[in-house]
Amino acid sequence: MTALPTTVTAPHQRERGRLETSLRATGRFARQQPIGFVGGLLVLGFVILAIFAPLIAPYDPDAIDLRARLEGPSAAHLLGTDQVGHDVLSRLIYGARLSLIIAFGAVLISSTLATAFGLLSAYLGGWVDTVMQRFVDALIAMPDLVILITFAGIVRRIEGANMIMALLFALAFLRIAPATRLIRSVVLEVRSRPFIEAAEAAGANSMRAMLQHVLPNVFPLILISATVALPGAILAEASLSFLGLGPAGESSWGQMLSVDGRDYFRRQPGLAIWPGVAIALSVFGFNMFGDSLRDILDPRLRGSSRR
Amino acid sequence: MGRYILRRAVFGLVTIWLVTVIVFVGLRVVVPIVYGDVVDLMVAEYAAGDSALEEQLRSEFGLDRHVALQYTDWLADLARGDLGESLINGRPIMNEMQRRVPVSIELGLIGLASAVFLAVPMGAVAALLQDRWPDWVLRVYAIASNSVPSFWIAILIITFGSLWFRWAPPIEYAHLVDDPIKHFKIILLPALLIGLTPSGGLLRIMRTQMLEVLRQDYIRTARAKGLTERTVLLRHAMRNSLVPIVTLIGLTLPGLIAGSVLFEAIFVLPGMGLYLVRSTQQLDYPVIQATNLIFAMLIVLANLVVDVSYTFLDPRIRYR
Repeated sequence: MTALPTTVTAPHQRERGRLETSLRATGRFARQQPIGFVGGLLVLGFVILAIFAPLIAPYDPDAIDLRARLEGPSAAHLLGTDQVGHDVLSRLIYGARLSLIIAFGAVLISSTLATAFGLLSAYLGGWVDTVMQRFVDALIAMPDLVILITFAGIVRRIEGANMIMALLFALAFLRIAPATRLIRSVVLEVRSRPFIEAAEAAGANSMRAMLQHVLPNVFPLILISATVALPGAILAEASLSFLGLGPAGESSWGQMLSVDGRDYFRRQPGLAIWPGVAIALSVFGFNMFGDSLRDILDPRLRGSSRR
Repeated sequence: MGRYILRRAVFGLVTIWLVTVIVFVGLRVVVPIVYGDVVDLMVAEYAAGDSALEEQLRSEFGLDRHVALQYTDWLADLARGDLGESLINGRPIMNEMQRRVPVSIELGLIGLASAVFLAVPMGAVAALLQDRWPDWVLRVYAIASNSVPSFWIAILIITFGSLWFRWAPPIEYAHLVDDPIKHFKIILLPALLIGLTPSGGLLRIMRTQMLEVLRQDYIRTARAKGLTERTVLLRHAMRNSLVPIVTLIGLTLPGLIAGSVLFEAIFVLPGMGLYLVRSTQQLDYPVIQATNLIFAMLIVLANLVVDVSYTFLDPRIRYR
């Protein structure tokens, strides 16, 4: 972001120049971070699938065709059908939608709140900081998945509860503490740099210095930690759905592997293969993309994962 | 050292206490407001509209008392080592836990051991053969193990094991004391699979550390004074690469213990995970509280052990 060198162009050249610059930047990214580039393409692919699911999916994911149960791959059903005649490909595409809504939603909410808490904790200092950090200590040490299972299991019993929103907020809640800890530490570090001191000496009150000067410099790190958190959220949703604790009646990758369909895997092994491939590819894509994003945006961390 | 452990233990207790409060308030205050309590659920299933029965059950379960009193009662019972009884089948939870906790701990520990025994030598090999083909293979393995969900691997093994080899995991569980051989036949595969996910991260850290350590002056000194390559690698390089591994073990332990839930579900093992999942479906308050409490205790204890073990691995670290 701020680290990338920018060229100055005349206003009338700007439109073309911008396109060219971004194309060139993409090319450079592909050359320097080939695996990260592949990861980025996978991420882009899944995002497109998620957004345009109704246009891309060949069938309604909930359409039942009892005459076409447990079919193998064919021209009509590219990845075959399951035990009630759902088109597997369509369910996978809608599964991407569910996965990404929950993952992006949880990470967005937790990043926003964690940024606010991290800034406040670092800036107010004193007893506020101490109390907040003790809370963070306790929350970080909590058994995430256990709490998540307890929560999802109970909410699932509640009739009319929006399970997607519930999971989204539960995952967000569990990430706030670790993200707050990280952002606080970076805010403290950025704040000790000379240009913040200069801004404060020049009369910017600390609130203003925080929002105008500190926040933009912490932003790359917020972006990195958000990207790195996405695959974890995707896996968490898949695991819960796999246990039968996910949103009922939605197409979900984890649910497709769950006990409901397991009796049919012997007859149609594709049912056991494709949802896992989807989970693995998306998690791989986000992992690799996040890694190279970290290398590019935060030179201080460079090399920690590349060696 | 003693004071450090004491301070960490106090923090651990605060964490455990916080877990119990969150679970208690969530279960007995929030859920009844948005939905209804366990009595509503039971009565709705068998005797809808019978308000006399509801009253009777509530007083029997102590749910008619103030929540704060319910909590102090629970704490008082806990202090006597009594986890209460299941609201659904009336069985004492302590007996159930005595059978179930060892299963989950065993799964977690074998999983951890397999992850470490896989990752440490593989990481060292990758570092020694840097940028040659074994290094590339191992790095691909590290990336894959981070991305491929291990519960899917389990599903694939079960599906194709039965298709190709007519093999299926045993359905009936055997306890360690009753039939050790049958027990290990059942528990080994799920335990090894639990170790799969953390092994990738451990391998990566081990490789990075080895590369770092091998460049240090004291390794050159060790070689220069004529030590065998074996001694240099095992005594000097490996040992010094292990400290971050311990840190990472501490970080992965919670996931490992809780991750056993997935494998208990797949392989039908009578551990704590399945107990928890079932109790949440029935809103069995005391069981949900007890499983959360014990999971939290295990994780806090594991982290404490990891912190203390630093001092044995790295004499430079001294806690005050």
